[in-house]
Amino acid sequence: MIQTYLIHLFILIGIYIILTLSLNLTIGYSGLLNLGHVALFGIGAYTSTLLVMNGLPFLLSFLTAGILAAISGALLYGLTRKLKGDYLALATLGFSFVIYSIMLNWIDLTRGPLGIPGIPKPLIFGLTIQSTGVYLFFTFIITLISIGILTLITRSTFGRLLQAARDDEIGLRVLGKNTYALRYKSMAIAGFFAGIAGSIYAHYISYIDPSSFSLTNLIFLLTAVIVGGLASVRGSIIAPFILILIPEALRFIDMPSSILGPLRQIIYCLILLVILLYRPRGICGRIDLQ
Amino acid sequence: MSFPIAQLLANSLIIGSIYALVAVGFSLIYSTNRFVHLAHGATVVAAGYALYSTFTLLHLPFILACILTIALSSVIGFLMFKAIYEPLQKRKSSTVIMLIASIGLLTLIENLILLFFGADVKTIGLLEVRQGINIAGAIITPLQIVLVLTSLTLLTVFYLFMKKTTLGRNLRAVADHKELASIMGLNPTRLMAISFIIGSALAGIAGILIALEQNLDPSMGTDLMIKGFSGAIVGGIYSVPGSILGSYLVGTAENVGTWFLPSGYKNAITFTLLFLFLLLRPKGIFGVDKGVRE
Amino acid sequence: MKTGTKKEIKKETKEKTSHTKTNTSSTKNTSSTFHPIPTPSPSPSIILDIENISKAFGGVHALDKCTFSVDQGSLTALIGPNGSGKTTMFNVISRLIQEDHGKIILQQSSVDKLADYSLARQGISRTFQQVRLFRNLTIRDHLEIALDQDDESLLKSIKYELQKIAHAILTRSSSRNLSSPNPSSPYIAPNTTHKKINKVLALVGLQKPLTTYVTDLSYGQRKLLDLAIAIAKPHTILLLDEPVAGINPQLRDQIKAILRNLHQQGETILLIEHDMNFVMGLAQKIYVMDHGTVIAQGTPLQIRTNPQVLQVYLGE
Repeated sequence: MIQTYLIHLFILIGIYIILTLSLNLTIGYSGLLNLGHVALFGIGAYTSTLLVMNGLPFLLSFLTAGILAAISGALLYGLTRKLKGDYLALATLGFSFVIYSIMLNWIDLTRGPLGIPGIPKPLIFGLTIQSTGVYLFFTFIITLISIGILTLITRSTFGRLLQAARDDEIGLRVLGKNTYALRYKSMAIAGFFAGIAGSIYAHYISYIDPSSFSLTNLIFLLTAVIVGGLASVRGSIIAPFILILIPEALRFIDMPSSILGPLRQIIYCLILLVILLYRPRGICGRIDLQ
Repeated sequence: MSFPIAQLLANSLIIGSIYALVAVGFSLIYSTNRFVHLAHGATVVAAGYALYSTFTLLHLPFILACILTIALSSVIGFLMFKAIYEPLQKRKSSTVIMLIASIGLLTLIENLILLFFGADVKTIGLLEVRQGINIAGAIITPLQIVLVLTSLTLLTVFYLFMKKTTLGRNLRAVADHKELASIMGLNPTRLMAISFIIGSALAGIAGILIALEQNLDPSMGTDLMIKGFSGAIVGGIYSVPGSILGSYLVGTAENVGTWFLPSGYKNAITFTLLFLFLLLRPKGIFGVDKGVRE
Repeated sequence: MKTGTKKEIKKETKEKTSHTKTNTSSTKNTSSTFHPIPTPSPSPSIILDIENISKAFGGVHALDKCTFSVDQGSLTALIGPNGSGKTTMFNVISRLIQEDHGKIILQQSSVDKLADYSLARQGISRTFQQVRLFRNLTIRDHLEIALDQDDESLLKSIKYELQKIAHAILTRSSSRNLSSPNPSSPYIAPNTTHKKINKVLALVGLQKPLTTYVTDLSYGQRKLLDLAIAIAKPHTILLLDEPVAGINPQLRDQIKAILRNLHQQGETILLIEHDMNFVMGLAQKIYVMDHGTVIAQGTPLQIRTNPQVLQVYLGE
């Protein structure tokens, strides 16, 4: 029993590491306060779910989920690239709400607030991942690959250019670097990982509805990025552990779920505010935003 | 069914009046403080629940309940400024950090309300639902007329306050140029706190009106906030008349839009409008060009 | 001031022996700082040609039919009082601002349609009056970014990163030091880059460890680094916006010497300065701007004695 519970937690942690790290690529490394990340996560989840339920092989759906979310991320940047600072944040927040509205209201596609139950477990090379243990292994592998790729990107000369563009966009452009192209790529990469995280999530939970991709989840991701530290890969790996495990302590106190839910959110908000006030660079961060 | 122009316009006017109260408070706080205070929406909801507690639960006289509610809203706004925003500003945090903090506050207050009042909707029940009267083909309840009139009166008073009084002028001075205002002997921090008190009081009034007109539910703060800042940005965030006009425009857009689309798309419609303005005319309709913020 | 200048020039001439002079005109021009020669007539050696540029912000004419040109291998100065439109001119040249009217020709081709970054690739290197550095990056990062014109490719940079790791594993060195030379890499040859970095830092006289973050540099050191970046970036012309603004006299002389040195190496330099004295012993051609337009041009001597210029600087 405790074993299944731990497996469950670690699968979630794996998914959130991918999400936090990819969000950090845009916020921390590229300096774009992208509040649309949770929508990209949702796009990935719904894409993968709908494709698999319409008969496509899992791996193909999984990749399509990533690619579609990547395209959405690039598109979002294309629409908002002229905006800066808080206006960019509001516009991308808007994107999250628009996607949320679509999930909620395009009933024919998403079944709206009822959600989609019975999402099948992944079938890879003729083998279905039935047990959560194997699913944890699958998540672990994907998480490891994601961490590897994102670490490489952040350490590469490309990642350094992203950071330079974050620190001074004009200063980089007069050195002959196309900052728009850099950021398109950055948003697309972040979108891709958000998308595959969505796919892993959907096929694990086996039920998705729009509420999983709302502001609540966005707060969690923002908190994770800030707690871990902007532009810190290590921080974005550690933070999801802390943030997922801390509220789990509440589970051992007997409490109705109507209290547990808000309480968990309150804890996240308090952690976020306290970190912003007293340790703005997070656990491992090196930089301040702007 | 034919396109009910009169009814849609009436509905737009009613909802726009509430949005306008949220928007001018938001715009006042934004222009003096220069950061996006998203938790403003939470103040509105907190006010609604304050009215519910004082009037419906404690059976205080309605006027007293209203006064308490408005006072409480101001206190909430002031506390948010003192406890979170002011320390952050002292450390020269960027606007982006302030915005993240405000999202944190918004979610914090919403969940506190959820914790204390539960997720089920609350009604104030001041008046029984009366038969609406027919004005030029639109059905409007007496309450809604009172609501529109109250809002318009307050907005006028607020506009005159900003234009004519010394305090209003000082607030505008800080909004225009903080450093210059402080050289001239004004205390920007104090004026920023005052803008939170006044802006949150307006949010409190908006909360009362909303509580009378609709059911209360803890998550409506986010919705209201979207409408509030969209109205302010569409109209021109540094301008009081602009924010008011923008709010009516947002109200109209969502009412007309949901005639064609499912009503769940209200927020999406608002955001599309906001998006268009951010991209094509970021300074808004009445915009003073202070540039897209760095 | 003047004697100091002469001393430097002597020093420069001594140093000159080490430089191989390819540009004969630059040698000729060096003498012009002492004996001004008449302004040369327009020749095919014009590298940057500004024709009738106008730009208005609201109702204010920041630039009003501004016309001038920069010859290959010359050190040209754009002077004028504050607010005369010099920096706006630079911003128009480097495409940060779109002009309302007029034409900019860089090496015989019009640059009107180019984006700021593609213009930079066409060979314009510029500095800003307020130095623009990347505050979370080191000196080495800055210069590598300036030198490396191929680092935007995601795949190439990942490939290079993998090669570095493979190299580190193969050589069994646990430290993944950026500076460790990797001759097998076709992407960048760090040896060459490293040499170039050291060379440019020596040129501007910035003696700081390469791993220093720019936030740990003094104002003057940042100015020097900014200059080094502009020099390191592949370019045909250097636009320098007040390279000595707000720095101490000693560093001022140092930068003057650097500029003279660059000029002697054949660099084409266009310089903004509002202090007339600074450019007098340095530039061979001076344009004076006022109210967004060029009101006078000529050699330092001609400018110094031009009554209209004196009016602008002393009058009002």
